[in-house]
Amino acid sequence: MNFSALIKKFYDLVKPHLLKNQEEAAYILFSLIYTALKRNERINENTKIIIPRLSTIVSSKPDDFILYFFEENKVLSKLYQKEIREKDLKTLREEFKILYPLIELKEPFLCFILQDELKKGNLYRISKIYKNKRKKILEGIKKIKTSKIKDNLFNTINLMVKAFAEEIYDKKNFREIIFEKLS
Amino acid sequence: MIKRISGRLYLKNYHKLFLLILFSIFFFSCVSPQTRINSLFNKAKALKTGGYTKESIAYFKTVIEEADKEELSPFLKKYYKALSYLEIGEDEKAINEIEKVSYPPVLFREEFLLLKSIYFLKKGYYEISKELSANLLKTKKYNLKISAAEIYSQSLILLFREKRINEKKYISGIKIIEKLTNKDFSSPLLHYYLFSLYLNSKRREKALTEAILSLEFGIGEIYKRDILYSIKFILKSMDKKLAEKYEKILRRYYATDNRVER
Repeated sequence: MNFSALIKKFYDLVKPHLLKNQEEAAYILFSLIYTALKRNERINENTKIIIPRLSTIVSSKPDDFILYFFEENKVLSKLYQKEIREKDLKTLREEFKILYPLIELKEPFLCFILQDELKKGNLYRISKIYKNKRKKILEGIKKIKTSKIKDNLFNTINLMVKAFAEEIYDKKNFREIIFEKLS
Repeated sequence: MIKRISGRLYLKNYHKLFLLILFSIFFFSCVSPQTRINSLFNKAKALKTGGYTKESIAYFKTVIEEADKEELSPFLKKYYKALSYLEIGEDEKAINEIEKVSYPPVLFREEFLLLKSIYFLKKGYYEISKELSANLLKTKKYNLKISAAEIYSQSLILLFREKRINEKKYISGIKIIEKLTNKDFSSPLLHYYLFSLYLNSKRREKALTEAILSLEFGIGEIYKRDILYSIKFILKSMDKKLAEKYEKILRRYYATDNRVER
C-alpha cells in the first residue's frame, strides 16, 4: 500500500469525526508513523510526538556562514535580498533554523511537512509557516487522542507502522527510507 | 519457678523479636523503592554509560518505568517527566520540571548537573552552562561526557559570538575539548564539536582537519551533510592553492554525496 492509499484510508476513518482536509491527515499520519518508528513502539493515547531537534547544528554556525547560505542559494538570495543587504542577522538566523535543515540537511520531518513550500519556492518567512503547521499537527493529534475512535485509529496506524518496519528493518538510515516511502 | 519460666519465656520471645527486626530490616532494605531504583539504575549503568543521547533517554525512562511499580520519590517523578520532555524536544518544559528539584539524590547528581547546564544554556547564562558542563567532562559515563561536550561547545561558541569572551579565551576553551579528543580519538561527535568550535574562529584549516576526522570515524548522516556543506563554505573563503589541496583530500567524501559536487 502506498502512502496516498494510506492517507485516504486514514482520512476516511477520521473524516466524520475530526479532520477538515486530507493534507492535515497526511501531516498527522506522517508524524505518528515517524514517532512510532523512531521510538520503536506502538502508538497509543500516551505517545508523545517526536519533533526533531537540530539546535546543535544550526545554533553553532557563525554569522558569515549564515550569510553565505542565503547568498549562495539562488531562490533564497532573491527572497531575502533586503535582509542580506542590511545584514539583518537576527531575522536570517531565525529563518536559517528551518531553511538549512530543510534544504541542505534534508531532514525528513521538515521536508515532509514543508514539501509544498519547497516545491513552490514559497520560502519567505518559513519559520512562521512551520510554526503554524506544527501547531495544527499537535492540535490534530490531541483531538485524535481524546476521540471515540482512537483505539480503532491507533490499531490501524500500528498495523501500517508494522508493515513499514518489517520492510525497512536492517536498513541503515531508516529516516531517509521512511521519507522516501512516505513521499 | 514461675519467674524463671517466665524469664526464660521472655528471653525466648525477645530472641524471636530480635530476629524479626533483623529480618524486617533485611527485607525492607531489599525491596524499598529507593533500593530497587538503585539496583535497576546500576543494571542500567552496566549496560549504558549514562548521558542524554536518544538511546540513553529511552533507557533511563525504562529504568524509571520499572521503578514506577513501586512508589516513586518526588525527584524521580520530576526526573521522568523531564526526560519525557527532552525526548520529544521540549527542552524548555524539561528544564522547568527539573528546576523544581532542590536536592537531587547522589545517584543522579551528574545527570541533574547536565540538565542544569542545558537549562542555563537555554536561558542565556552561557558562563554558568560552560562551567557546569566543563565539570562533567571528567565523568566516566561516556554518553554523559559527549552530551556535556556538546553543551560546553555551544556555550563557548555563544559566549564568543556575543563578544563576552575574547579570541584568546575562546581558543583556550577549545583546548579542553582537544584534550578529550586526544584521549578518545575515534569519537566522531567530539571531532564534530571541535570542528564547530574552529569554524567559529579564524583557524578554519583546523576546522577542516576535524571535519575530515569526524567523517573518517563515521558521523551520522545529517551531521555528514552539514560537514560537507560547511567544507564548501570554508574552501570558498580559503586561499586557492590551499583549497585545491583540501579538495583532493576530500574528493572521496564528495563521491558519496553528489550535492556537494554541484
